[in-house]
Amino acid sequence: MRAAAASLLLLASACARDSPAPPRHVLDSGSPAPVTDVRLISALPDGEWHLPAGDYANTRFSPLDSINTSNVARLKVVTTMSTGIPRGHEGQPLVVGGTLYVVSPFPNLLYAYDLTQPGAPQKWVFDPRADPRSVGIACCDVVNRGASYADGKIIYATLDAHAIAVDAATGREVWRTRVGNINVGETITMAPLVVKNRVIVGSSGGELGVRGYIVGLDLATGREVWRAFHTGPDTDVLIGPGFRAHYASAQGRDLGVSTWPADKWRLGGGTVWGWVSYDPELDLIFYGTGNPGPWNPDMRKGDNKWTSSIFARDPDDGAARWAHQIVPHDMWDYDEIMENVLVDMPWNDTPRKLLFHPGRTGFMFVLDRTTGEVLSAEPFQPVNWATRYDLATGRPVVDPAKMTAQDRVVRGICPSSTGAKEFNPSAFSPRTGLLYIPAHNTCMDYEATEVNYIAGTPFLGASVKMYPGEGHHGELVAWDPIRARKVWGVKDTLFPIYSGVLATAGDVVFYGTMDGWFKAVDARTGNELWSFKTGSGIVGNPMTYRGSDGRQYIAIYSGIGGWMGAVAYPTISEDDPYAALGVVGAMKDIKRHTSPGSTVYVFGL
Amino acid sequence: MSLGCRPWQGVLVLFASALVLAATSRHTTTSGDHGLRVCADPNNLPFSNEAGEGFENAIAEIIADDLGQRVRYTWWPSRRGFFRATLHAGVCDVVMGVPAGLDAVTTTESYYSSTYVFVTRAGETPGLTTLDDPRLPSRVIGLHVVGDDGARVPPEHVLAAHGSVDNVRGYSLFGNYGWPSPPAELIDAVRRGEIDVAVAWGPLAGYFSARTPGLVVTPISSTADASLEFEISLGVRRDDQRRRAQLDAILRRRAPEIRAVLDRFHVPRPDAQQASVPKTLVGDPPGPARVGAVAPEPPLPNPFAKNLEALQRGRRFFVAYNCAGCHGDHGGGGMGPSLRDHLWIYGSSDAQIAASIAEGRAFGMPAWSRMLTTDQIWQITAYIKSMRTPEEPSPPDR
Repeated sequence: MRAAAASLLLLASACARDSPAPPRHVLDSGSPAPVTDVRLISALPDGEWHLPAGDYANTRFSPLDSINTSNVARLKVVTTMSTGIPRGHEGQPLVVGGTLYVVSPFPNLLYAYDLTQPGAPQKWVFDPRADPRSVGIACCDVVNRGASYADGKIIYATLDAHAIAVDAATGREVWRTRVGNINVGETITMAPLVVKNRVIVGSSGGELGVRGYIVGLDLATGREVWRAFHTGPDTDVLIGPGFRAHYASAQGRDLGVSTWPADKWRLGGGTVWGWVSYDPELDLIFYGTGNPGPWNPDMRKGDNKWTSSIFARDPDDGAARWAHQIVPHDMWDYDEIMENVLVDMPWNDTPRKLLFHPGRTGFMFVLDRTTGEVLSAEPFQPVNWATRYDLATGRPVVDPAKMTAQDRVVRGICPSSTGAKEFNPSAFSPRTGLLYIPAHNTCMDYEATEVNYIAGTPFLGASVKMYPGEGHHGELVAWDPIRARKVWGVKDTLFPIYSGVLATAGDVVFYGTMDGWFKAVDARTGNELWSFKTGSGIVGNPMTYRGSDGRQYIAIYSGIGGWMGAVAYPTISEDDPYAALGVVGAMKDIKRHTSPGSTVYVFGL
Repeated sequence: MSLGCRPWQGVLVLFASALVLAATSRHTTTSGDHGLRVCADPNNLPFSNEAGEGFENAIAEIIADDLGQRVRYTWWPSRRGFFRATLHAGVCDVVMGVPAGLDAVTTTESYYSSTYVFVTRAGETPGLTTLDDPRLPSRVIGLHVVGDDGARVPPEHVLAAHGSVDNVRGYSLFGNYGWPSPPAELIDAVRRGEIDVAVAWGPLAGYFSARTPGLVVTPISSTADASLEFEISLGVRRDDQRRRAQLDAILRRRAPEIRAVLDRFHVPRPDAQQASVPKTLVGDPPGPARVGAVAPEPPLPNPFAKNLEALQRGRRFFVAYNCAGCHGDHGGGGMGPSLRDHLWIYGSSDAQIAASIAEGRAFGMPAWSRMLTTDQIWQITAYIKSMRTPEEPSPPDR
């Protein structure tokens, strides 16, 4: 799984064998675009799964195909494990050398299971003894989105804002680095990405008046090599001579200061809690930043750079190569920390280095990842906060009626703060050329309110009430990024799709629902091929591996939680729709459909 | 800032660990010829364990001896709700190790008092006696946190007030109940070099440090900020005044033997040992607001209960001080638990809710006595209690 081995996979459209059945769930357009010349830029996880998304490019595509459209209906449970922590199980396991690794929600236990033995018994469990005070400052459940494997070490972050390396063989701690400070509200929930000899990880806490950043640690020692903030002067953002912004509004000095009222950037958010991608050919990492703080936009006039932005950086020293702000002066809590899927494909018949970013905004962005230029931005779910993106400026054309303001209730904004898609990652199949997006159709009423900064408490400044949008609440969208349109969609009338997605060379797409169904659908049509009801709602990401017996297996977490899923907990009351930062209104029925869980399911033929 | 003497809540915290409960068999009802019925924690050294190895076990034996009886134990973990399960359920008559003046019971005269102490490696940080010592912010300090159903220990607030925030690590007081001695972990962390200074309740620190060579235990001197000294008594049912008087007499009579037991267990005791009135339960009367006031005392009724204007003000404070950010706009929960439902982790009385606000709780609830006046805390409490009632100001629309 190293860059040198990233042999280029040239996959012509392989769909010669069967012409796809008429899509059952199609709402918009026709059949998939003919796929030509999809070029993957990093090695795929052949048999094992070492990185959060499987590969550096974040395709979440596996070349394994022994489970495929013809036999997936026979899939059955092979084994299960429990972490014992009934909170949101986001993220995904790793598989390295016949061992399956699971990071639990806080207290962030790391379990190792022996896949070579029947039932996959536990080999060891590592308890990082994370500081329990971090629980009370985690905005949206005490989740963890997984680990990376490199150099014999499992590397992950704990809720109390430490990065930890654990010996993958023995379960002993190798190093531990304090990345953030829980006393000011910083936590870490994301999965670090290891790139060469750097561990890339960022901070959470955008609802607590923190100043977001990402760091590069030394893989061998954990020592911090660089730290890049997302607000403040260029020297802090690591914007230097190598930085080239494509759009005029992103050019100029110290925009991380000048696009804020005096000193407000110090509490301005811009955290990093989603996914990091890496292009080994360009030697650049790509990731998005979170919302500006507070949620009351009148308290921070200006563009609020570099919140809700996508960055390209040199992984060695953190120097920014380009940045593009997806939502200038966000006033809806549209974090843009979602995955950036890196693929080379023809754009207007010219091969181009593309970046796919399905945003919380409801727009699906295609960027040129060498420059940050927006090539297309089209809605993949109902959107009314903006009518469109102006490709000449890269900025949204915002509907003034949906602009939020202090002490005014603005009703019917779509999507809600939780987005047309959350952090839950999409998958891209080079065989179909489609991006499979776990989408939401949730809308909201939003009233910005005055708020005081009190360190370690929410710096929120909004009263929000969410509710399901018209027609459906969730949808697995198969999106053609080149033609910028939906090819098919599988709708969920109950809840948003809050799981990640896996696509395989068997032309099967896996995902889960918040009421606990784990499903396999045909990658070309969306037809459901198989489903299994797990014990709790699914908010984790499916992954696949080849066992020591040579067979293919699929693993998924079942444990409801996260921002929207936590409404299933007994500690949240349904009669306050504004509770849990406004998601209760959208999720008030969930307690009737699922309850907390903590299980890892492994399926095989 | 004054953290004042706020002993009641502090004692609650140590109470959760220091308490030893006593009782006779579950099937007997009351009284004498069944022996001295004590409810006790079966796994809580140095206080008590099922093998009778704790100092509270030893003191119970002294008392039983004076009565010419045998100790009859009912074992119950010292967690939330055990008065209900033990003393108030009638399965025992005496609970040991109760903070003097604890409201849930009648308490006897105190039979010892102790204080929080520093535990350091010998030869390091000499002369450390106060929480405002300027060296502390540059040391790594460990403290107990009271696990799932407790709160933060009192010195944490004082440390924070003197700049020790980032350098403080929490160790679970209860830990895994299957471990032999969960609280020992904090002391061992000093030995291992994981932390430089442990701040711990004296009886725990004295006992575990005595078994660990190379450690020094120093009582923390009270400062203007806070007294960290607490008096410990026996607890009986509120209406059991006869037994209280009987036990008072025994405690006086057998004081030398009790002192010997405490010495044997290395329980650190301040010099002014048997001094004076219990400092507990003095409490600030509700009155003119003052910042940093002492937390409201449990016996006091909420002076703002059923005052509609106060409910409105409580609602405004609930929003202005970011309670809403964690507990939901209308208390429905989120980062923190719902305040609208019937589940109360730390008690549902006005006084208990006010104490939770004032002192903070485990897992991140801040201690608001630093920022809110006593009156503000009572008004927020009144607002919380009004949720789901016709008096609730600005109830959530559905």
